[in-house]
Amino acid sequence: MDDAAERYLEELRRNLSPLPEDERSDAVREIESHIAEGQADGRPTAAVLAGLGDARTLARAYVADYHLRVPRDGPLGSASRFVLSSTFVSGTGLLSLFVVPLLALLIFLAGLLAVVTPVLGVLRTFGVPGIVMGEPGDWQVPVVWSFPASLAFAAACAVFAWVGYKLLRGYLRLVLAGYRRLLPFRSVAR
Amino acid sequence: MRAGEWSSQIRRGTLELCILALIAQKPRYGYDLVSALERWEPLATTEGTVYPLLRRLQREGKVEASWQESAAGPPRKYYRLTPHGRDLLERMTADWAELSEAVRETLFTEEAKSHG
Repeated sequence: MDDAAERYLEELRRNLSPLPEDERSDAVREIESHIAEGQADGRPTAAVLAGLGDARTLARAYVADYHLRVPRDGPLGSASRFVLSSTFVSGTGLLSLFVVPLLALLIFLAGLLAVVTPVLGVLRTFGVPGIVMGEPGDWQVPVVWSFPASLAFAAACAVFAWVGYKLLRGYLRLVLAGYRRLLPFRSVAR
Repeated sequence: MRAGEWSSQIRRGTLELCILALIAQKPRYGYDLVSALERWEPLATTEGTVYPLLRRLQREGKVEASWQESAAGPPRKYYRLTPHGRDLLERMTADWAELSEAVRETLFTEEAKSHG
């Protein structure tokens, strides 16, 4: 292995960090083997590396595939996979960089409101002070209506969070699938 | 859609079939597989793309792999078909034969020509 090959493998390894360690080192080892075969074939290292394509792109093809394929185990596994996929997709483009975190934040806030609002509604019904429903100092929800009103608001938040979650998940799948389709063929001489 | 993009989509779709077929002939390691594909110009891919695809085939249980020392040089990761992979290859081959025959007929039969 010469310097250029070492650097290539190092960059590949670094960019494969989302993968479990055994898969990661297996992939690096396989690419290392490929480079050595090419060199043994009498090809210059630069040509072998060029044939493999950019190390980061190669790593992304592995990582995207990993996110698409690994089965979800339980709600916790599913949640962590979701966060991992979101992080990966955020890094794939300028649009994703804004869309994914923003949408995720909105979904989180809506979900939080859906849970917290009914609690506040109950508290307000029983006269706990300091809970404002409506325009502060102007129009207010009558105290008796606190709970039903909070439920309606919570339901709206829940629907928003659900739709947002579906949208985000669809978007993640779309981008990941796009990456998996990222098998650049050499353009055939016509 | 540009013709170039169309043709690379077709080749992408058939690459998995070709890889399974090549592995069915004999156990192969990545470099061997890439070199085998090189022999046909339309199948020559960017070499790196074969490896993530092999990883996926392995994860889906279509191929299995094992590392073996080679006489000279580094260890090689050999792939062979699993029974599931073999079934799949059989069905894909049949589908492909049917599809390519149908396409050929639409393109070249007299009736299709008179409508075209």
